[in-house]
Amino acid sequence: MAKAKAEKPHILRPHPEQIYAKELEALAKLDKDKKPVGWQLSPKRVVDYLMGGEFEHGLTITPKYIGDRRLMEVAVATLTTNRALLLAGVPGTAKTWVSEHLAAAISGNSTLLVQGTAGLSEDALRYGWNYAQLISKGPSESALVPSPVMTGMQRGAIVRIEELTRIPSEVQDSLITVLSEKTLPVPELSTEVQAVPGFNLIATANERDRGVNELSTALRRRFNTVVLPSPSSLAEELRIVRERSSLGDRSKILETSSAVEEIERLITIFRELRNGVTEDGSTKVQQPGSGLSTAEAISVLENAVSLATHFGDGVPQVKDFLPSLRGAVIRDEERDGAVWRSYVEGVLKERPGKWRDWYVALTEFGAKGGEK
Amino acid sequence: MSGLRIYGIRHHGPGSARAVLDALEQERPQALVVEMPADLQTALYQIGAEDLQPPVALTAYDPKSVSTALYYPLARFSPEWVAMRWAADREVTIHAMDLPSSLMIALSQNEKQQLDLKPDAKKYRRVRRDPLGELAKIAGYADRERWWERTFEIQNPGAGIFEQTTEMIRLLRESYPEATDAECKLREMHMAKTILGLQKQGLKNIAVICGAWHAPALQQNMLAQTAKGYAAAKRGLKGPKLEVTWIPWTYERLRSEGGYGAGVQSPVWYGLLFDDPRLAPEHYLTLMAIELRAMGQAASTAQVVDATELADQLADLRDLVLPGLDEIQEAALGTLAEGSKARLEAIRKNVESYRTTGRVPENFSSLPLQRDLESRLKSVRLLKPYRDMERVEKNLDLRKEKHLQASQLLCQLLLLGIPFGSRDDASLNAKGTFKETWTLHWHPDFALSLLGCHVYGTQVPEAAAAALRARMEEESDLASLTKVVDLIILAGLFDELQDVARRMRDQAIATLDVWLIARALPPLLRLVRYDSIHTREADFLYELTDTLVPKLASGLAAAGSNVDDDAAYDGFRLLKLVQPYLAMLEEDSHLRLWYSAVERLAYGNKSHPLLAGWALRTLVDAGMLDQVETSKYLRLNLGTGSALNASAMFVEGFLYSSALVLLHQPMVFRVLDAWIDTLDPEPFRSLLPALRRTFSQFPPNERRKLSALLQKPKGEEQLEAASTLELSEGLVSALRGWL
Repeated sequence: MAKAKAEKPHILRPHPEQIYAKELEALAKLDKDKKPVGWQLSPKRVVDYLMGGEFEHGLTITPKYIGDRRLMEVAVATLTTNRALLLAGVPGTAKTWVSEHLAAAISGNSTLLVQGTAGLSEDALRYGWNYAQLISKGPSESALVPSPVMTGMQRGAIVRIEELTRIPSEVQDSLITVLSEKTLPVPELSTEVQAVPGFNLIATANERDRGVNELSTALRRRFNTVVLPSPSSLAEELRIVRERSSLGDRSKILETSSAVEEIERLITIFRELRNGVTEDGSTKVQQPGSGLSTAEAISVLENAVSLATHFGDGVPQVKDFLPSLRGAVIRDEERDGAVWRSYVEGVLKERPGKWRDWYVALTEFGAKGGEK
Repeated sequence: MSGLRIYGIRHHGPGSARAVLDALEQERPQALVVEMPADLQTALYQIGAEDLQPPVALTAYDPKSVSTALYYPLARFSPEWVAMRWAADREVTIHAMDLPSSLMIALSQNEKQQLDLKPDAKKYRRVRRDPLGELAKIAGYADRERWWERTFEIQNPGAGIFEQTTEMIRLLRESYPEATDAECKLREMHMAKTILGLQKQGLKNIAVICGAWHAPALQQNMLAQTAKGYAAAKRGLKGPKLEVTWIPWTYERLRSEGGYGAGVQSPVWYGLLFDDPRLAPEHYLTLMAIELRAMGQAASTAQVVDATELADQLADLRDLVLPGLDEIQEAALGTLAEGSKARLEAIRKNVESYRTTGRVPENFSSLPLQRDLESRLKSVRLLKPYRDMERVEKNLDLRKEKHLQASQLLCQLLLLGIPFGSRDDASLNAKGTFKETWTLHWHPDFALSLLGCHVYGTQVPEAAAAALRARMEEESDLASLTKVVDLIILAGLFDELQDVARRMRDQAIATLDVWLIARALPPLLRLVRYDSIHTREADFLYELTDTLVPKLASGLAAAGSNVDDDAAYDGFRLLKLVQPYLAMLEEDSHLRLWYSAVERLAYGNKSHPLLAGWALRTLVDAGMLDQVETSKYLRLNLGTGSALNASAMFVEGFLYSSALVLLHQPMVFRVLDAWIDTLDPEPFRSLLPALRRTFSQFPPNERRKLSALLQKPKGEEQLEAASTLELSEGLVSALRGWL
């Protein structure tokens, strides 16, 4: 990741196809497998791009997704079929991240994006009108404002829909024809846009939000659901946190052994509260209502490094983690507060060695200002 | 080329089975030789029987100790099954070539000791048992099943596969010479010897089906060398004489463990692969959709099509010719299961349990106990659920002779550890004693359990009784014996009662815990009382009460003294149960003993108040105390202040079961009433829970009368003026609240 960042343009967050342009190019060069029509890479190379690794001619690909390769294979295979891909999972399990990279690798473009919200109208999924043109010239092709979905169909590219389940059900259903018949009728012009090969949809949906606007059966049947899990082991999660935290030059700090140990403790706390059981599997732990995703662990870490850089010696100490950690765990003071205290007193208190510092710091923090 | 063909297969491998079938069709051998113990030969003659439907297992067992047994399960996709059926249909002779089963058992007993000695032995054993797993590792697969499935099962490689695998195994055997241990060598000696013997008889065109590991050693040019030294090697080896039988097997057991050491991950999938590997993926997905619909969920054909397409794409992505079970499941997860792993698991489970039991023709059974069971089931008309292995519900009316016998037979099977039927106990309580509801479900595994029951006897009741006796040896305390009495009665094994009674008496004499006796008595006395059995048989039960009642009486007062509240409540429950039976005792001496014990409990200084209260009441009910005396003792036990709690418990004990004593004995009522009236509101409130517990269990009509009584303190009851007590308004309303 660090290598690619050297030529980073002055944009806060460039698109993956910009950051990893070289990797994509190199993969395309050694790609000898059959590419589906409209794809920039063959399915196998897309999986390689996501999973990373060492390849012929000394090519190193940074891993984008850290986890089960088989899941990515299912996701990529889905996009070659008739069905669209629905990435589901609890918040912070890299759904958007994966969808961006899939689009970048398959179509070379991750910007055909519809952000799903409760206020989304059908126009955003189909097409709108340039009203000045519409009034002056009447309905015509030039007055038509295509949505990203329409554009993707015309170009044969992957279109992303974020937070599909937040879109009102009636609006969601306008996707049915698009997905089953691969066409978008424009009755005003007595015409239609027929998708060219390479077009497909990747939607993400938050499992916790399922109840908001449940997918209709008709639409669900046109998606293949891939559930992205929380990281399965401490080591895997540590890797994700370290690879994904955007600390720039400061990421070297994380190499120091004391920082590594503290991060490991931080992730342990996250995992134990999330899974409802201690890492050694010996003790049950009450779970707070907050999601405690890996993404949140990353933000706690970034916060701690920020504190350490600007107000300390640069290496995050226990005390630097506490303010944002507490905020991440406790969403609802009444319920989560009790859960958190019982975890600190019941589990952390008993731990030997450096854990002692965490316990002491946590109780002091709680006594001083944390509890108000 | 000689006429000897060695087909090294993977046991239960559908790809192997297809390849074997192709090879047999092509070569048309005169004789088929299989890797089965030579002494199982007779059972192989039965293989062609039409009613023998796989999965079945050929079982060799020691009739003296059934835990010693060898199983050879065969499914319809097992290469051995396919080959033997092929041979039977064409009247090609089948020969078993492996070491006789008795020697196998002797070897396995030896081997256990050897394994403990040699640290590497387990590894070599693993290599030999699972050579292909080793090859899979070499090929870079962590999972042998996956590798083998991909390499051989899905793609039908034709007959040429046998030469390839034999060559691979030959190299493997060379690299791991230790893996072919003494046991393996001895077995191969016997195999080679058998083949040579057949050739000597003039058979030329012989097909041999054996595990892939043995194939290199059985090639024509190796036979003589392999066979050498058999007599010397087997010297001193001696095992039990085994008997052979076919038993129905299930896919479930095939999955969990294989008699060949090679388990089958998904028998249904293997079956489909055997039928047609190309159609297997969509066939399996279709089965999943059918199951989903059976579960009441929507599953369209379009979904199956989508899932099949996805599975194909996945296979493509992974460089596979056809999707395997992994790809199918991954494809089904996102489509049919809508992303829910739990749902996928549920569907899979239902698909896998799909029609999975085998059948063995009736006349095959040589097991006396099984024959006995079948004839008994027939006589009580339960043969059909046993045959069909389906779940059925059955109502029994024990007043009918046949139904009684059926119920007893089912109970006897329960005693043998075979839960063919399970009785709905709720129905038992609701409908009294003569109606029972049973759920019957015969599981093929029960055949194995039944096999194990031969140690107990060859007839069901006799075996059940023996099992019961064995159980009594293990659990000989009084409480367990009491349960046994119930079982005996339900199973109709009345001959056993005498033995139990003797044991109970011994235990009763030895025990110091009178509560155990109190628990044991009710079922016994119920028997004596309600003529479940003939009086003649009950004689010894009377004798048993001769021991138990005095023992209970002599220990009662001590057991009721110096105990904590929990123990007292436990005792209270038992006494409430046993008293009605004791009250009906006919023996005067017993009654005298008992009531004098109750008196001691009632008046004892150290008796727990709850039990003392119960004792006092028992004496009242028995007509041994008049009103005056009762009131006296009651007043004595009702105090205030620190004794308040004790008083409340005394009242609870005294008023157990009914309020009649209050209704019919005004003096007693007044004492109690006065006591409650003296209480200050605060202590009274603390008493409320206990009082409520007491009053709320009275029958409604008694409560009504009590309520009326409380409303008219000066009315019909003609209370004496001097002791007339005003009940406070608050108290009356509080009491009426619970009444």
